[in-house]
Amino acid sequence: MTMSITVPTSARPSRTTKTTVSPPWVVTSLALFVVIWFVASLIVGPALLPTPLTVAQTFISLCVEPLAGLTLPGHVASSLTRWGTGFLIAVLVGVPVGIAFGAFTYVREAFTPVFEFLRYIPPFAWIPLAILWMGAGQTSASFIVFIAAVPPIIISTQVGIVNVDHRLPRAATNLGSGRARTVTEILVPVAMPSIFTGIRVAVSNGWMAVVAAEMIGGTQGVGFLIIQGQESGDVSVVISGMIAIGATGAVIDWIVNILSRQVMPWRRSK
Amino acid sequence: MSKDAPARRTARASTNRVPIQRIAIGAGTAVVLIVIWHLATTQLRLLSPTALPSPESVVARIVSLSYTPYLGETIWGHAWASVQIVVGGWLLAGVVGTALGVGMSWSPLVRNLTFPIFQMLRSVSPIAWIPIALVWLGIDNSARIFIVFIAAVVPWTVNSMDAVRSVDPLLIRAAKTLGAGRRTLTEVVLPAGLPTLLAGARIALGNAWTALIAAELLAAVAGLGFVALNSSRVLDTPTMLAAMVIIGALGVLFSFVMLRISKVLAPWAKN
Repeated sequence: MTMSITVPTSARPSRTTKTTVSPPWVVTSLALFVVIWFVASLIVGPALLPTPLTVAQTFISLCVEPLAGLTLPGHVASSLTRWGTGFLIAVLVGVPVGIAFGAFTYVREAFTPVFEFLRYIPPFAWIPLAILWMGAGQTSASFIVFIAAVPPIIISTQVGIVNVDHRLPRAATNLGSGRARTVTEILVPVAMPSIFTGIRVAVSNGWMAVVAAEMIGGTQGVGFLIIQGQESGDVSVVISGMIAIGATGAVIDWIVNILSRQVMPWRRSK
Repeated sequence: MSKDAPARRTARASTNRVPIQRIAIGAGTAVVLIVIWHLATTQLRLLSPTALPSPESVVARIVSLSYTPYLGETIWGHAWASVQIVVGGWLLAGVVGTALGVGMSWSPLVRNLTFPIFQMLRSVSPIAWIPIALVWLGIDNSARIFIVFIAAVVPWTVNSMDAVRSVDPLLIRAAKTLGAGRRTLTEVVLPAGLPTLLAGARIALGNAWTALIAAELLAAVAGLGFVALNSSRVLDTPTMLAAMVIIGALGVLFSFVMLRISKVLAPWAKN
């Protein structure tokens, strides 16, 4: 079989994301959701599904009273530090590796099969190994974030570099630009939109990974919180944690989106 | 002119060496890395065998676990347990996701009512559903099928939405004008949308596999993730790496099989 590099699939902008629902319908839809939730919780009982009201109360009290060592914002912040560390290292490693893969055919051909195989091992499968190597804590969670975040960055950087019109670097060389300058002033800026596509995928992959790592071998963080909620049988804590996970994920995606517009003012990102 | 330049550049980059040479370079690197791994663990002893056992001990473990049961089953028995759950949840998600996606792109009422809920729920990663699945369904297979379902249903839905909407309305009108009638659906909409749907199915299977491994690490009584976690608790690193290797190999296999299926079902798709 041929081992070809594929663009991270979720990174492909879908042609038809014009799925807009008008604000009144959004409100109606979400209200419908709350009603269904409420009715369902009355049917199955609060032990399995607490009412939206109970969850709201738990959410608010978790924001002020610590549970499992920290308040809910504290757990989110704790997860974010691990996420940030792993993600930052993934960018620092992934972009240069991606440039090397894109710019040097030999490097790409040599490492693609190994890289592709490793990529097929889900990041979570590394968790037991990470715990064994680094113990259950900050470092192993950051390592898992790194494992989850680095492949999309490498791949989309490589794709971005490979797709640069080959006349551009030649023109730059003809006009007297050196190798390093061609990379930093031609290849990287032209590949930037592609790199950012990978970074956005990496952001959400990494966030998912940190939650999983904390659930399996954590001592704090929002993933640890929801597992604590499950172990003590308090579903409202679990759902509050899930809301925090979803909201934080949405916020960091939004920040990266804004950032990408700042970095690439010439391209209006969707 | 400038538009097709990148395509030419890419084509040139991948065809300037014959495939056999490319495979040789790739395989050569893999062999070199495995030899380094071998030397680092057995000759130089840079790492303790608990931290990283030698590659041959991992292979030996895969072989011995093929006939000696580990935690109730052989390693292939565990692999089969994982595969069954992933395929079951993935198919279930396919039925629900395709119906939902087609419904959302077909009917404005369905879209208005369900799309905001869908967007809100998908922002919660499938992994975060594991604790609640455990509360609701226990450590049964059903909890893991549920997690696989949550992970797989999003790409199924999104791509079936895209599949329906990507069909050029002009084609549909042309077919109708030419008297296609009901055949519009089978001969225009389906062939035009099928590649997008199959791409969604492939992403869904990959996501499902990833999510299942996480679920098995947390709560399971069989499966490769279960093997990996239990072996790590007793510092049995060869078994843990054996499980990781098989997890990766099955991931490759799933992707390969889905590509083959896509080529058979929709040979007209642009890759």
